[in-house]
Amino acid sequence: MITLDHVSYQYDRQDAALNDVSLSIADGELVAIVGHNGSGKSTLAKHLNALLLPYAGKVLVDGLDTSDPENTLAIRQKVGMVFQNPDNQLVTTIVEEDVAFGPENLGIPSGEIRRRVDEALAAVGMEAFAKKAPHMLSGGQKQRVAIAGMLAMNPQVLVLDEATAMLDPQGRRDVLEIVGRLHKKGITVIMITQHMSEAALCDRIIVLSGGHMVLDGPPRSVFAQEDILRKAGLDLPPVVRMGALLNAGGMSLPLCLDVEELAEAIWQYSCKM
Amino acid sequence: MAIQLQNVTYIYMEGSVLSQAAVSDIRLEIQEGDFLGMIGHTGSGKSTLVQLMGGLLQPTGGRVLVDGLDLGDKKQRKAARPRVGLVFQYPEYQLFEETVAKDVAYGPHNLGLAPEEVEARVRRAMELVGLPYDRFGEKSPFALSGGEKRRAALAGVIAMEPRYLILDEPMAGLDPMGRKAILETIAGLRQETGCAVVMVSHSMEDVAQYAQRIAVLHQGRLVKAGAPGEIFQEEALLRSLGLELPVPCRLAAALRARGMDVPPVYTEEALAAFLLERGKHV
Amino acid sequence: MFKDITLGQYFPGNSPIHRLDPRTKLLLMIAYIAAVFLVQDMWLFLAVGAFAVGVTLLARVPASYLWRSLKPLRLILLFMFVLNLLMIQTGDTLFHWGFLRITEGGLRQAFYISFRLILLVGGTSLVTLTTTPIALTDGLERLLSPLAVFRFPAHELAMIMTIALRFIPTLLEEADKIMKAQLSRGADLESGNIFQRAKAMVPILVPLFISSFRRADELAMAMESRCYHGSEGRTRMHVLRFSRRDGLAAAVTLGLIALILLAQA
Repeated sequence: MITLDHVSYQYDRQDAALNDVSLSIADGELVAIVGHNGSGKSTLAKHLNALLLPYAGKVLVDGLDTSDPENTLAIRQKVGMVFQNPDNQLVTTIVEEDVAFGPENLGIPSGEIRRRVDEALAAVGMEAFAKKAPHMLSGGQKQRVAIAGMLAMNPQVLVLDEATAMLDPQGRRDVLEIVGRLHKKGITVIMITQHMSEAALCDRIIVLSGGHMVLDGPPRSVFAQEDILRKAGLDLPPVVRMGALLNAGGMSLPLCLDVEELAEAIWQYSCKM
Repeated sequence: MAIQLQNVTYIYMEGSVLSQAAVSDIRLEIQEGDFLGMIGHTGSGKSTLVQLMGGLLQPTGGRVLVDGLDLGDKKQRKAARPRVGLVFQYPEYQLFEETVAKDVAYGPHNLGLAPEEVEARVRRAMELVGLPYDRFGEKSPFALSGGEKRRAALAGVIAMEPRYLILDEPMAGLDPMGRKAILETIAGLRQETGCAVVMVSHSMEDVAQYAQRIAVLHQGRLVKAGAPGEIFQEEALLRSLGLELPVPCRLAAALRARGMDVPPVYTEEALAAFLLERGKHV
Repeated sequence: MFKDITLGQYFPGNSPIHRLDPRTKLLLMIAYIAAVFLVQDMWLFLAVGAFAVGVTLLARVPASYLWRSLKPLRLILLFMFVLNLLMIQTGDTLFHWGFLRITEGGLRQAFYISFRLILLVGGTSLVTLTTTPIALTDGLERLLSPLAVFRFPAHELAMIMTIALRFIPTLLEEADKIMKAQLSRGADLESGNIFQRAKAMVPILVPLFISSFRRADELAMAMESRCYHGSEGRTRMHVLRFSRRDGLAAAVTLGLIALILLAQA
């Protein structure tokens, strides 16, 4: 359980990057945090594992206050973070050594690390690459290794800070599929993203703009607020946009999130006519 | 006047154990004023092809001609290079000057143009990408936002006034507003200067919207090239290559599966127009 | 295109030498180096050489790989040989012409120094050829860790080496990309005098520096996120353990070295 209580943050001599944001994320949720570049979404992500500390307000992770240095390690163990650039988060020259990096820092005994590393690599389908050098992998494969590195720390929450932004469609599909599986296993997943079609896969979408939270709700209710999304510099996902285009032309279709659903709605609508 | 790829093959590390064909036997022509979209997986040879067209790699088989100049010949390559502008992935990582204006001027300056001409081009290019000279010229490129950096880098290539502009994933990693700004800049540039555009992209939606012709690459081979209408009709082929169809195509297919007679369309506007028109008549 | 470079010069294998603990190899390498410096006799040089050849055969490293590491040495070897030959003037004169005088002592020293260099580089290469960079760093860290008492940053040094090894291929690839981008903007990297060329490198080096800093920044954040907080309380997945094989290797090597030095005495 993560709670942000009136959190504000400001980088040097700039406008507030986060402005009085309050929200809470329950265990087992699948949440997307969306916003344009500079909306504060990455700043928010870095508050979730004490990489940044709020100027005002409080962030609690599982009841632990992030601003207490005593809690830092415990919080970072609970909240795993995968970043945007696949190249800049792998530390060592061999995949399995890299996955072991987190547990090693936690002081876990060697045999247990071995077990966790094997398990984590299997969970992301990278067992065959255990002995490979990271620079020989594709972007998507590197991100899967990065996720494994987090899993090996046994986190409760996985934060993906635009982790798919630099991937090709195949890499993106692979990462999303793994994330979906992890969520089903009970891990809380928080996806920071610009891709509205990725957000559409989540149970809940939080929209940030200019450091403020402007929307928070399930995809259907968030996507119904087209004006607010536009003002926040965001698009509707292609399927929702298609539906909106038809409704603007005089149809009355419910808000649909995927192609099959929309096709069925159009079909029903045209049968009724 | 065209870029002609004549049976072009490129083999990495030729002669060694690691040798691997990056592209094989590609025949493709980009006419002046064309807008060609290039799609395919990572590793399909798109990036190699971009470098071959820019003369940065020499084909190990076949020829690349730019307006009749053979890129395999050192002298002709030198003459051909200014005609082809290359925009690589994440081009903002090549910015280096103290000010945006100086950085944009780097290319034109290397062409050996007179200072007045360089400045005129810098102004035009910056205007085109939506970074007006008076506001952005003296700024440090490193003080710009992500989207602005990308556009500044684009201006650096546009200022060389190439006849052919080749872009490798120009929108990668940008937010929706940033993407739109880049796409509209490219389309606007083409309209204004008549230059040809080759755009490598993973986004089927963007390619469907903007390209006049589409080339599909797979494992270093040109699988198919043609108008978007032709390409997106090949649903089975694209699926078998692991390429996702644009949403309007998938929606049209789902409607056909329900028995609706939907013509081949690949843009949202066209599909919406058809469905709304159909609604009026039923 | 830089993806294929191999760093260090590790030659993959599973020979008894490959499987030795890196600490054993490093320590025995030091003993070997000492022996190479102490030996002062042609026959004993050959004995040390025979030992090195024996280890090479046991490691199943092709001679061509060893040769490759010796190749850059050729010029230095020639220089040292000639220098010793001409400068050392002891023993009988073998050859005299004008100011050139070659003595028996000079000739011996010239050969000794050449053997020493070859055995030194060959022997140490054998260690790097049979040990992965990461095992080497690991061994080094653990050998040096007792020095932490004197505030010697053994762990930090090993971390720096690991990160350098990890990022060199990435940065080479990036340099290649930036170079191509600037080339296509008309950069001329090939002509002009040395100053012009140095100046032409600015558009490549500046972006490379900036991106390295960005990478360093992001990497630091990623490491912090993974609970990195120095060596304190840190465990390792791979625990280095000396085995019987290591004892055997040490006994054989040290025994041989002792014999050689005894023979000399």
